Amino acid sequence: MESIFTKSRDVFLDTINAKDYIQLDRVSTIYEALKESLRKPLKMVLLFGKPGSGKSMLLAKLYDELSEQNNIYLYQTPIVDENEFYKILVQDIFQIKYDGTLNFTQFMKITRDSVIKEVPIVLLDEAQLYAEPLLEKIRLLSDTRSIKFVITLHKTEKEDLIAKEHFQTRIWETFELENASNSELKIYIQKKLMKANCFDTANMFTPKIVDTIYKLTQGNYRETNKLLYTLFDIYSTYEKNMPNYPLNTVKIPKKFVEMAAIHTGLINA
Amino acid sequence: MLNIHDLEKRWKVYKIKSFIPYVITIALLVIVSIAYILYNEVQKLAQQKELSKTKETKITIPLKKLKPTIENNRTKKATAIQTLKPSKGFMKKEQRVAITIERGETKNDVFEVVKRFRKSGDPALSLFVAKKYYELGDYKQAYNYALITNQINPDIEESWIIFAKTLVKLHKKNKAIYTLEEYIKVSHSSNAEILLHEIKSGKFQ
Repeated sequence: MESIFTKSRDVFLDTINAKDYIQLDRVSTIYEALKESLRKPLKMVLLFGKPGSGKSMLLAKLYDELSEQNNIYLYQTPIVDENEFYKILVQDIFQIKYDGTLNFTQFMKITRDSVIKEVPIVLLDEAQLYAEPLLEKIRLLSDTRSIKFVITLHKTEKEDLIAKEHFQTRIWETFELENASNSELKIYIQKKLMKANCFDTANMFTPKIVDTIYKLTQGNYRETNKLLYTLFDIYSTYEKNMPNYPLNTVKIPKKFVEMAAIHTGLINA
Repeated sequence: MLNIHDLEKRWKVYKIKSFIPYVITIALLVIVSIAYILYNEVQKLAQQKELSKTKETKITIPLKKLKPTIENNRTKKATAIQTLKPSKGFMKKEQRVAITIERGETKNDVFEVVKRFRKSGDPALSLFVAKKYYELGDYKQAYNYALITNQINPDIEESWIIFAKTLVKLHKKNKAIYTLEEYIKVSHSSNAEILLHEIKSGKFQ
């Protein structure tokens, strides 16, 4: 039988799966607003925030919920090659398999000639990784209103500039995702564990220990997942290799959190 | 699989490192306290040295030589001053002055106290000087030091009494009466009232 600690550890595996989406008040509000914006005749919607603030997860959730009823496409990994980008889009949206090279003009012609009633929605994650010329074409494409783009960008000084130069005038709606607050982080951790029926370990997260975690991760979801994965990995290792070590599901020793933080690089030791 | 032993080692190092600022702070506090105590001890020693020096001077100066200098200003009362000791109440208030009183009654001692007063600005010392000059019959100086004492601390009853007494001695009876009346209004001092009565009745001249 799988140990509670191993089970809890796997809960925090850093994967982008819509099923792992945790509903928090603030994120839910943004999510609903994002869904609403897709119903409006907007050219482009921007979702931005610091790395690990949950942009990719929100995009995955959006895709998961709307894919059955809407003409929606999600690209989590950037398609760096321009020709490849058009070919993949043509294949996915218009079901046209293109063997040769496909340039922007040809792609535009295809979109104009298409008989699709509903404007396709393209969700592009990590848009800051796209090359500048391709970003320019995406901007032009959105201008034609033949495709609606929802893009996510990292919020850093440099990447803000990219957003400014290529998208700002075309962006009709902007959503910013922020790191979790202390109380949100507690809800996030406990909901995540309870979703996997790890009730005992969920109760171990007292306000004091959450506060320690918050100080280390600043409420960043990715960092929190990494830290908690390592924390339960430490539990599992002690359980396996040192059966006499006093482990319980009442209180998390600060030592374990600090050890996890050292291992993940959150504490420099 | 995690290398738990290595991680534990790193955690121990981290814990030791995180305690360093506290250790430094405590060490600094201890050093500062020790330095403060040592400084106080050195100060005490210096004071004791100074005291012993004055004692030596007192022994070497022949009393006869001093007599003529005091003689000019001395009244009949002044001879009595030689054996005068400060009042108990005064000693209670200012222990430091008490040490000075015990060791002598010459003008040299007054100069020593004047010196100390100039350094510290302690009204107890200026009051002592005023009293000493009064006893020696140098009413002008007594007036000056009583005035200085009143300026530094206007709540010392003894200083106001000496001040009024010197005024009488300097033939400014009216001013002394006025001063005492004003002081009584504020302090309701019974000693001041007695003195005022004595001045008014001519008992104190």
